Amino acid sequence: MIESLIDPEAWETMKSMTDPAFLVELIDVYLNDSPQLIEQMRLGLAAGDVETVRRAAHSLKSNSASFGANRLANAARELEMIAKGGNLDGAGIRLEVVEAEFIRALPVLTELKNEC
Amino acid sequence: MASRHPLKILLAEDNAFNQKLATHLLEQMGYQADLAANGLEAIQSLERQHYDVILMDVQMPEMDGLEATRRICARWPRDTRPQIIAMTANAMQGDREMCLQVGMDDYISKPIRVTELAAALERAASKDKGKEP
Repeated sequence: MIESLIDPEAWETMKSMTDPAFLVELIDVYLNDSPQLIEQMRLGLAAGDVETVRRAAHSLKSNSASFGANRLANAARELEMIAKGGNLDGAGIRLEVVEAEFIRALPVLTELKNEC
Repeated sequence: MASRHPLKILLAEDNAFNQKLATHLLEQMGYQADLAANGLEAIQSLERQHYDVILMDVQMPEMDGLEATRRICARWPRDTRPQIIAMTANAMQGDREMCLQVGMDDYISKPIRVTELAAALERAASKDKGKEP
């Protein structure tokens, strides 16, 4: 379960780069920021604001990839690519995938945090 | 690392998560980096003081890293401006070339990895040394 949602190699790299206390802090920032980024995507989509959607998706992609949350990073990347194309056709369905992947990754990251 | 290679570093990055991570990794190496949240702020920081290295995120609001680099290179001659190291999450072909083309000196990819960051700073420090009188 953990393997499929969080890439173990990326997670180990992240662990090796820093100390557990900082990693806990960083996961907390991530768990706090990600729902806000998803909310920005939602609002941007509702307002037809391509740039807001693109920017929020870009940040979530980048942040998620740091921990090896690759399924979530890929879903965010697909949404970023759609927005980069200049319109939001098909973005609603992609956003649903992003939200679903975040909900799946959430308990795994929380568990990894508790193991730090 | 900072004692071997003392560098004044500016981190130009809008994303709070990456700011926190990069700042911490730099601290572990002994560097106290200053922060700029976009390209405009980076240029304003350069007007205020000298930096040896800018770690420049490519995608930022207000002014992105590519435009900021163009302006810095147009305004400051090569031997007085900082080494500019691009940081980008766009793992697309041609990205590196685009960064180098606008005048960046080096490039690291995101997610930020400490080995890659340290290696880029080593390269910047050796180039920096080379240009001193």
